[in-house]
Amino acid sequence: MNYLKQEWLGVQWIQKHISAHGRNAIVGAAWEIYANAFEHSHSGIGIFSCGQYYPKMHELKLTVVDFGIGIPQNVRSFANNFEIAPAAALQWAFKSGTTTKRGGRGVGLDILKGFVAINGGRMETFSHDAFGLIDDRGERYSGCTSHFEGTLVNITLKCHEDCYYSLTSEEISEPLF
Amino acid sequence: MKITILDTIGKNCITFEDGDSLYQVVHPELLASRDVELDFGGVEVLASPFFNAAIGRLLKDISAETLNRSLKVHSLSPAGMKVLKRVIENSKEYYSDPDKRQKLNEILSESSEGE
Repeated sequence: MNYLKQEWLGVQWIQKHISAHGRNAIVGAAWEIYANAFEHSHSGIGIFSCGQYYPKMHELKLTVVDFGIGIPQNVRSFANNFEIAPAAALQWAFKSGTTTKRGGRGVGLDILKGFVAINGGRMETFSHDAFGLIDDRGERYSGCTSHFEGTLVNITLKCHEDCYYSLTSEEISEPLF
Repeated sequence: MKITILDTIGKNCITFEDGDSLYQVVHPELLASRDVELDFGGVEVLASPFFNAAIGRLLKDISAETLNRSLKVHSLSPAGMKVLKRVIENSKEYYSDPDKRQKLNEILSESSEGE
């Protein structure tokens, strides 16, 4: 959390151009990647991440990698169907309501997907034999000829305050439940 | 009962464990038909594991009508509200479908035993 707040989002340009609300929203969305990786990957050697800000492109990039069992395998285990194609498995995982191990239902990837869509950014996922790309043109999933022994999520977020205007319009105007 | 989240949890409400600690306080109050107010003023970062544990699970044995009446949420950031609404939406679906829930629980139980 400190890395995300102070290192990734701590550079002067970001502090100057994106409000505290916007920065906190970005950190919350990025945390969904970490939470998903910790929850599902069964990675024996932990999770690795790195990020960078690209001032000329006004973009933030964050990559999170684990070396676990992969999203397709998790989905196949859940469905008890080991014939599910890589692209279909990854697509299922990005739908809302995918599982968590402890209570309730997971919505992390779905939330992150929605955030990237609002932001106009891009999200790439490589997981074992599957690849997914989410950007302003929609969602595409496919199988891979090469095999990545884990899961890599790479998000690119646009750094214009306009991207976060929509976050200020939410109000409690109706019952929560 | 009014709970100031900044004091009880902190400015980052992101983990299942923190959500669970809040649930352990809120759940008995609501079961005893006492109103609960959650004040999120000053909280900076919110994420779905926290809300799943703290609030999503309440729908397991408390109706939506009761929760709308007895559980009030204040000063939640717009981004946090988006996440909370998504969590509640999914939790309602989860707890309203016993067959799917049963299947999920069986698989997750097997998965945990295999670790």
